[in-house]
Amino acid sequence: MNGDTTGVAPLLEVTDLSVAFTGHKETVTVVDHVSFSVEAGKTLGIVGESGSGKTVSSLALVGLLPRNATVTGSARFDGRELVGMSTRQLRNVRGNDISVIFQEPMTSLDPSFTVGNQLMEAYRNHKGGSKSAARERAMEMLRLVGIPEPQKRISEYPHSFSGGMRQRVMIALALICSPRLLIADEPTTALDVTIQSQILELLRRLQDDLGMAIIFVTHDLGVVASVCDQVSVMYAGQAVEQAPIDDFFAAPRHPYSIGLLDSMPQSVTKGERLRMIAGTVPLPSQFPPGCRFAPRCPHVIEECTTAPPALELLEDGRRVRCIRHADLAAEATR
Amino acid sequence: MTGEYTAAAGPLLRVRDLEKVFPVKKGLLRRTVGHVRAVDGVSFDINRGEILGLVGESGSGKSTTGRLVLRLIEPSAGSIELDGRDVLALKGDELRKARRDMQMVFQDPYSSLDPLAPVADIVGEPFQVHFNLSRKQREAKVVELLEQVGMSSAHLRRFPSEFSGGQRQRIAVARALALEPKLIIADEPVSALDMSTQSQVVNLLSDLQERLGVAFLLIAHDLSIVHHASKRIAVMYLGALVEVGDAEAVYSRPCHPYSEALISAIPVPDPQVERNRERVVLEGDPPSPLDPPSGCRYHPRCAYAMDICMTVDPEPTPTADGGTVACHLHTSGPELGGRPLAEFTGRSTVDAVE
Repeated sequence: MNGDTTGVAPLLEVTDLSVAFTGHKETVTVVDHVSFSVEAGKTLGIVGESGSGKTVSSLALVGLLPRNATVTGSARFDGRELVGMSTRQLRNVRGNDISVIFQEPMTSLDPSFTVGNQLMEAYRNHKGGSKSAARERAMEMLRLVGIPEPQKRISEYPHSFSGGMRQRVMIALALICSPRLLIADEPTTALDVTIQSQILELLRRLQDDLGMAIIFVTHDLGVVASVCDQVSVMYAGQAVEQAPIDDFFAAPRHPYSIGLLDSMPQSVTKGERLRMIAGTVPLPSQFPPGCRFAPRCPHVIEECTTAPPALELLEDGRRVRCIRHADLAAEATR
Repeated sequence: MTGEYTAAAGPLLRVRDLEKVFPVKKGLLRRTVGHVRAVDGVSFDINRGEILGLVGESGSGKSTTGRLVLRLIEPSAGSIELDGRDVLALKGDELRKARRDMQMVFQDPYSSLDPLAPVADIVGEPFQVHFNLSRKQREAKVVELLEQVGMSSAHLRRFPSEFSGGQRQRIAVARALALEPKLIIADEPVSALDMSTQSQVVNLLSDLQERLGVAFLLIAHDLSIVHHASKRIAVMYLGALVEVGDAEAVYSRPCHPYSEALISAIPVPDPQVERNRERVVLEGDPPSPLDPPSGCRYHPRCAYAMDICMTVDPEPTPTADGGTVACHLHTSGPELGGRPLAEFTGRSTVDAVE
């Protein structure tokens, strides 16, 4: 991931990003030295269960975390350092260069303004210009995301749009200032599978047309396989495996990645029990001392529980955080 | 809409021509301006100890169907028989007693459990309502139930907020099991959960069905996970069942174009397959049930629509796999009947009309 094999400087380079939340009694680190990079026009999938830190690490980039969060490390976007930027500078970056779409299209639009108003506001805040130019642009965006009759729908309120259409409006809102990076945080999780496939298709097409980079946060490996170029699997605040998707799906190396893939319903035939990963993600205040996945890992040995494993760079450019990955790969091929 | 029967005594649940019409009210005087046929003539059976998967998009009426069966809302027409007893004729106390036999598990385990009640009270409440048990007896029962769902007495005094989504859903299932129901209606029980946790809950439901012989109506929008747990699947579109059949048959050889589109929309965890496969992309949203299309209600989105589809609502027809399908591709004689959809390329004259 970090070793840019293509020689192109990545658009976003995140190094050792950590996020800690300060509570009444204690400070808990929910994202722990995570590094990744995204090239222009490419999509990085950040995958993990709830509580893995996938959303927090992506929102930290644009300063969308509560005040009790402390972000350290580095996130260089096109030469500019995002960590430590002032609120005002960040506001300029957000929407303009980096946009975010969220999971809930029902709650991320303001119900008391028309869709057109919200689109025009976003555009004029960043780009200025006349109302009529902004309206023109808003209409163009609605057309781009496939909303029928944009000249009519532009003056309607969010409640008259269906879930899928609202998510399209959210995408239009995110893209109206032509950002170079889009952070999509579970944008299809709340939608029907049929609408999900439309939205994924739309994002693929828009990426081809506009050349933006996308960070796609999701728990669904099927979605990753269908839209991403690279994947970073997170577990309990750490990246545990990072790889190009073809390599990843052909042969996942970390036991957690293997478990995630195995728990997809497609990996068993009917009649078999669905495979699952026993147990749950530990709370940030209760991370085990050694490998954080050790308590749930079917391949655990004693060394796993004593020292935390490092994220190791393999010959093929992949990264894996598991001391047994070589044994397991050998076992798998035998 | 019937599959094969195993129990000689007939099905556990028999639903015929179920309808629910909601009035649409507008304005200050709440005048009725129209009607939504949320459930429009649905018939199906659930056998003893069988899991029937009910799938469809949001707004297809699948949750409404589940609620109608429990009589959480009153049907506008049709009949519901549980164990040979007419559920719609029951009143007051009798209805409450009948509900012991039918329980519900809701979609969102974050809002379906009282946040201020410990697990002992949540799971024990059905005993309080229906039986006169001492606190001690109740707790013994609760522990038994928790063990059924893979939890333990250590969890008795904890509150819902201390559990993960999957564990909460287990608690909800334990509560539903408390009265030893014959039928559990599970409305999207896994869609709020992570992938790895979804498998845990689906496996739990399969186990309970095997061990206790409970029948399930498993309502969901994701066919891939439902078909594993279900014996049969019913596919619902805009208030009506379009296909019913053996789970594996519907999943791997769908007869109705809508079932095919639903299955095709599920992303497969294999980037090469994803890149190369031809998707049956379903354009647009489901039409409004306020003003359903004429003829076959799926025809405006259907890739195979023919002239007849715009005018005549197709009747359920038997399929080769022993299920039923409501689609003119299967009603229009030998030329079309029985051929897999993939071979059928004749997109018809509808283009000219549109």
